[in-house]
Order: sequence, then C-alpha cells, then structure tokens
Amino acid sequence: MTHEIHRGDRRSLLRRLAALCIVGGLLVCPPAVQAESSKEYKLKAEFLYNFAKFVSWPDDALGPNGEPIVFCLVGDGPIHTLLDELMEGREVKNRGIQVRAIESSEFLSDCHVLFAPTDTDELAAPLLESAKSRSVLTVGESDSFYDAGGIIRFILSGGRLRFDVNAYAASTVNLKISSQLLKLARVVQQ
Amino acid sequence: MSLHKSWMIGLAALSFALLAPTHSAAQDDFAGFDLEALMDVEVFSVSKKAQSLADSAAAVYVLNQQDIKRSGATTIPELLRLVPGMEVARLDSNAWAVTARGFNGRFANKLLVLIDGRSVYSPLFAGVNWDVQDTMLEDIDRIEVVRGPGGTIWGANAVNGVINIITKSAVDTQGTLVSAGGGTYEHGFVSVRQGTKISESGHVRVYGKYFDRDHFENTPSDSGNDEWDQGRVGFKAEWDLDEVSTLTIQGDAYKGEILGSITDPTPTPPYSSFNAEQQTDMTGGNAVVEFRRWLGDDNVMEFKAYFDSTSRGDDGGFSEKRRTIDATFQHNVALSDSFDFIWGLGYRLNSSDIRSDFAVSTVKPAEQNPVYSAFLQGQLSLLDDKLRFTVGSKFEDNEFTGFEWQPSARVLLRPDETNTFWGSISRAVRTPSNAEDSIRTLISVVPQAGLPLIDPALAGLIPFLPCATCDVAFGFAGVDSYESEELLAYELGWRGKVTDRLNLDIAAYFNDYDNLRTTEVISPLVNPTTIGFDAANLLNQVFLTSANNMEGEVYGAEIAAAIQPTDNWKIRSGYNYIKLDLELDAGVTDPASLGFEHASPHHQVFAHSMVDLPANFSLDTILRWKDRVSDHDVDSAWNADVRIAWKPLEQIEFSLVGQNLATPSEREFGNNVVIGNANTRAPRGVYGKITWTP
Repeated sequence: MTHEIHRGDRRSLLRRLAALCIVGGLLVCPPAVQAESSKEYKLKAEFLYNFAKFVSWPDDALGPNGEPIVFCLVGDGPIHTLLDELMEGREVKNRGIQVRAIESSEFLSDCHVLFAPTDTDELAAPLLESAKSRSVLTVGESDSFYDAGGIIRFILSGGRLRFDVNAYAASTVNLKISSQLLKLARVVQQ
Repeated sequence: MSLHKSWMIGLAALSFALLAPTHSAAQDDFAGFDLEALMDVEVFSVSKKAQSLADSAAAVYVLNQQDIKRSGATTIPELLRLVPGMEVARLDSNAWAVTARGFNGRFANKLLVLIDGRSVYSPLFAGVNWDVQDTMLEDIDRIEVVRGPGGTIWGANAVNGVINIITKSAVDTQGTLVSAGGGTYEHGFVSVRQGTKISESGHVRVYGKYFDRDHFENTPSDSGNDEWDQGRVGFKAEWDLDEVSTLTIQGDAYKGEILGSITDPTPTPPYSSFNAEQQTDMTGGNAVVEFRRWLGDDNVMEFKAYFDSTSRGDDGGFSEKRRTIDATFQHNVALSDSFDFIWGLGYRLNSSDIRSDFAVSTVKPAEQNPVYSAFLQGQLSLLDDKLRFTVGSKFEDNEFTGFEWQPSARVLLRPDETNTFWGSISRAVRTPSNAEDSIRTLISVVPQAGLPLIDPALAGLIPFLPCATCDVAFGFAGVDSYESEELLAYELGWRGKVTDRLNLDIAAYFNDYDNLRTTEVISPLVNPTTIGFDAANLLNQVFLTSANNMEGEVYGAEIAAAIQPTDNWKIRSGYNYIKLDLELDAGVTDPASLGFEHASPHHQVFAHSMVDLPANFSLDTILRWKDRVSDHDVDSAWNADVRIAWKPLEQIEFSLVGQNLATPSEREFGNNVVIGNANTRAPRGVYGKITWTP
C-alpha cells in the first residue's frame, strides 16, 4: 500500500535500537527496553474506549438494552488485567463494558470490539477472517493485521500514538464511524 | 499541565519545553482524556514517571490557553499580570517593564524570555523589547513562568526568572481560525490562521496578524503620541519522520512602527530637542529547526538550531541590526530506574551592526560575540519517587567575562498525593550587555554648576574639566571592566490541595546578590572622535560608567490560589511580597542604583474570576492592586478588566472587553532619563471581537 510510510512494528524498532546500542557507542543505552510498556497499553486501552464512543453499530448487533458492549482481546496476558481494570465501571452508549480474552472464532459472536496486540498475529488471522462477516470493530497494531482487512491500526509516530482507519472495511460490516474520529485519524482509507 | 520534566531533568532544557507533553498525568492515569488529549501523550515519556507541574522543585506557574483567551489581554506582557509574583508596569502604549523578584525597568535585565525555545533577550541593553514579542495569541498552548534562577538549564541572564511561551503543535491547530475586532484603544486587529495536512505524517499552520493601537495620554487632554502598529506572519510545520523521530520547522517575520515623545540631546545650544513624534521602525524574522529522536523509553535526544534577525532604528538616528545563530544538542536518558541524566551542548553567536547618532554611540559598531555552553544534570528518585534530588550545572564561556558556571541543587518531597514540598539553592549570573561594555549614551548637556545637582560627587570633578567656560556633556559610557552580576538564591515552596475546591502554591525566597551594577563617575573623558563631540564647546564630557559595587539581599514570598467556588465559577489569584535591602561598597555613592529598594511594589495582589453563565455566555473579571512605588513616585492603585463573551454556535464567539477600567488611570512607572522618554497613562479601553472557526 502506498500510504504506508511507517513500516515495521514495535519489535523491529527494538531490534534497531539494540543494534544502535551495540554499534553506536556514543549514546548511553537504556538499561532495559521493555517490549510492552504498560503506559503504552494503558494509552491504547483509552483509545479503544474512545473508539467505541465514535462508532455506531447496527441495532441488531448490540443486543437488548442493558446488555454490555464486549471488548474482546486476542490472547491473554497482562493486557487483559489492565483492560479489565480500566474498563471497570465505565459505560459506552449507556451500556456497561465487558472485557474478554478469546483465542478462537467460536466466541467471536459475542464481541463488538476485537483488539489484537502485535504478538498475537497468528492467533488473530483466523479471527479477523470471521470478523469480516460480523459488525465487529477490529483494531490491531501490525501491518499484517491491517493489510488483511482490520478496521483500525495503531501507529507509533513521533513518540505519540496515532491511528489509521480503513473506512471501507468498516462500511462493509455496517459499522458507521463518526467524522470526528476520521478527522483525527492519520490516514483514512476509503 | 506540564512543566513535568521541567526543572528537574529539565524544563527540558535549553528551550526545549517542547519536551513537555501537553497532558501528563500522575501514574499514567489517562481516564477522562478525550481522543485529542490522548494523541498528545508521549508514549516514550521523557521520564518514566509522567511528571506534572506539581512535581517541579521550583516556583512555577502556567497560563493556559483558556486563561489567555478569557483574560481579554491582547499582548504578552499584559498577560503576565496574571502570574503571581510578576512585576508588570506599562510605560506607555508600546513599552513595558517586566520582571520577577525586583530590579524592574524598561530593560529589566534579570528575566530570560523564550518563544518556542528561541531567546528574545536582547544582549544590546540586556532586556526584552516587548513591543516585538508577539504571536497569534489563539495559537499559544501555554506560558510557563519560572520565578527564581534557571541558569542551570537556561544559562546566563535567567537570574530572577524564565518565561517560556510555547505555541501549540501544528497538529493541534488544523483548520481555519479568523478573529477580528476593534474599539477605542485597540483601533483594529485581525488574525488569520490556516492549518492543514501536508503529507501523511506532516502538518503545517500559517498565520498572519495585524494590529493598530492608539496612543496613551500624557495628561487627560494631551496625547502621549505613542501609537503603534505591527504586522506579522509565521508558520509551523511538523513531520513524523518515523515512529520515533519528529522534525519541526517554524518561522515568523514582522514589521511595525512605534511613535514616542523623546527628548534628545543635541550638539549645539540649547543642547536638547523635543521630538513629539519620534518614529522607530522595527523589522525582524526567525527560522527554527528542531529534530527529536526517541532512542527508547526515557531516552530522547534533541537537536535544535535557529536564526534570528532583528532590526530597529529611529528615523535617521540610532539603529541596531542584530543576527543570532544558536545551535543546541541535548540528550535525556534514564540510567536506571531511579536515576535520570540530562546533558547538552550549545553554541550561540550574536552579531550586531550599530549605527550611532549623537545621543547613542558605540566604539564597537560591528560586534560578534560567541557563547559556548555545556550543561549536565542528574536526578535521583528515592522512596518510591516520594523524594527527589536534582543536581546540575551550566558552564558557559562568553567574550565579556569568560567562564561562568551556574550550579543548582534541588530537593522535592511528596509525602502524599496532596502535598509537595520543595527547596533549592542555585547560582545564576547576569552577563554584561553590549551597552555596559562599549556603548555611550549621552543624557544631557548641562552647565558646570548643574553637575552637583545630578550627583553631589560630581562637584569634585569641576576643577579638572578641560574647558573652564564650556558646558558639560553628561552621560553613561560602557567599559570592558564591567563584570557579571551574581546571585545565590535560596528557595522553599509548598503546594497542595487544601480542599477539592482550593489549590495553593506558596514559594518563599532569599536572594543574595553580589557584584550588582552601580553607575559611578569615572574621570573626565575627552574623546573628540566620538560622534558629535568634536564641537569645541563640548570638550567637557563627564560619564558615569558601570561598575559592580553593590550587594543586596532580597526576600519575598508569592502565593497562588486556584479556587473553584462552584462548578461553573473559577478564580485564579495571586499575591506577592518583596523587600529589597541593597548596600553599596565602601566609598561608593550611587543613589540611583539604591533606588531599586523602592522600585518594586512591596505588595501586589490580583484575582481573575471566570464564570460560565447559561446560554453559552461567560463573564471574566480581573481585579488587581499594586502597592505604591516610591522610587517612581507612583501611588498604590487598583485596576480592573472585564470580558463578556457569547458563543451562540460552536464555531463563533463574540466578546466585549473593557480594559483599565479604574479611574483615574495613572502612570505606572517613572520616566526614563537615560533615553529621555516620558511615560504616559493608559486610557480606559473597550473593544469588541469576533472569533470564527469554521
């Protein structure tokens, strides 16, 4: 895709950093560069919560009034706990929020938002395929996830978190993304 | 709000306040942030603990965009009246005296001012030409004011305070903004800004503004003849080069003119001429390039360079063209979980071209003054970051005084979430200006018998004057023996949340100055080569010159209170007290310099009330009071500003502002004998404004 000037995910960045540390010499290297900073994922969790506010699901996708909006996390791990804590007690569209970790497509029918962290690419691929026939807001971090039809991708740019939106993919599953959200996106693919 | 890294690891340094994320949060708690705010958070924090204003071991105050907009103020110095502890006096329609913690004047020389990291402190007279320090006020993100020394990070002349004016990022100023208005004193003004995306990862904004302002009053019926106007354009472009690198390029250019009533000395009898409408033209521009790269969490490096050109000159008279080149490198890294380290290198070259006239002349018309600098600072966090020590120093080499160092040690204690205590000891220097080094300013030509009236000590010179029958040209002359003024400052502070509706911030200081400037008589000078002095009847020349023969102890306290009486009513207020105790070295007589003891209001207080009314109306009221300033023969005075605004639609705001509403308005400052300028009085003013953001 021509619009992608930000190739490479966080890991390749870390590799480059490691190389810089070894070769560079001049600059002091950080004692430990952690692959998953909790700050980064706290931020991403807040973004997810905000995405949900600016996306409209078709009426039948959300279940009866009072049913929660379900955020599904591909894979399990520390991010699950973090998401659980952050979403507790919050509401979107007058509904509570539930966080679930899923690993296979059979539970996908309950999900409204699907978030695939970078290191879950393999696990996420079949889930993403199934999600294409449902009104699920798919959010990922890797190029492969986005290229395969994910709706939103996080991008680390200039030290800040940005996101790209594939508006076409959203419309094919009857998700309406508010113009407010599109305005803030780095790249919108129509 | 963010002076986070501020002091400590750095007010992030050398003008790099941009290191400060606009939104930082304790414990990485971003709950309640909207998307735009979230997009402002730095993923690789400069420090692992997202630091906020509450974390600075310094007397810091921030004016945010809301404070700026709601004040109704149209100039940067007027905004500074809303900062606790700042001394702001308007001299006339186009000139201000601004400082913190004493020693105020038109060329207040102990306050460093930076706009997006670019120093606007003039090395000519040591001070700030406030009439050309401007930008589109709507695009200012915040004004961070540090009272007290900032030399460790900022270098020379950050003695009594540092002001950082930080504009918004280009990403945050997308779209169109048009504001325009006018009224009685504000004849008319217009600002236009357009922000746009220039590539997938790049944003830019361009702006233009113009204003035309009326004169002040000399007497209620007499114009001060000090009207002015100015136009300005600028841009800021930012690119995310990759995930961890950003490039920012920005620039401004301006052109304007001011009028003023000046009494200038002349080479022939009656030796003085009054020019009721002396015109001064100002032009200038700057370009700034900044590159930042994150090398990982808590590891960021930054390179910044700028070029600045300013030019101002009186019609046919004295003029100055100055060019500044500045380049800095900075690296900020966490060496362990508890130790952050920052270091940097800097180079600056000041070049000046001066055209002399009879009143102001120089023996060094073309000067190039390089400054080399380095700094380092370490910060140790202990007890789960409840206790923090910061130690560092700047090292500088300048042409006038050679090597200077400005160390500081700070400690911050945060026993719980609602209380922060801090203390510091720091050294700062104010280096000589071109004027103190090499510029001659003629004040007046007086008969010999008039000399003792200026200063009794001058009587002793009369027998030594070369011409027994001639009058005497009297003025100031720079000498290269003049040294830096030095400060050792001791500060203590506390800030805390008293209740959910009251936040307090208290700072107290004791400033111990040495080598303060005095102006003293040097032996009679005869220098026929000096411009205009070849007239035979002006062979007698007596000059005062700068020396470092005063020391002083200054102490005071500043209190800032943020009060929220109800959910839609907010008050920001401040009070400060200052006392100066100055002492001349033995054998020195210099009543003028001792005058600084009573040149600052001993007490000042202000309150800015912000009320949100129904139907999208809002009401702002500013009340301020200053104690008398006996050295300037200025009485204590109240003043008030009021702003009412209505926002019928999200895109449109109408506002009506009343300024200087107290009567009768009086002069705020004494006349400046050196430049022969008569200060004028601010009239009441009313203006209306419309702001449109389609």
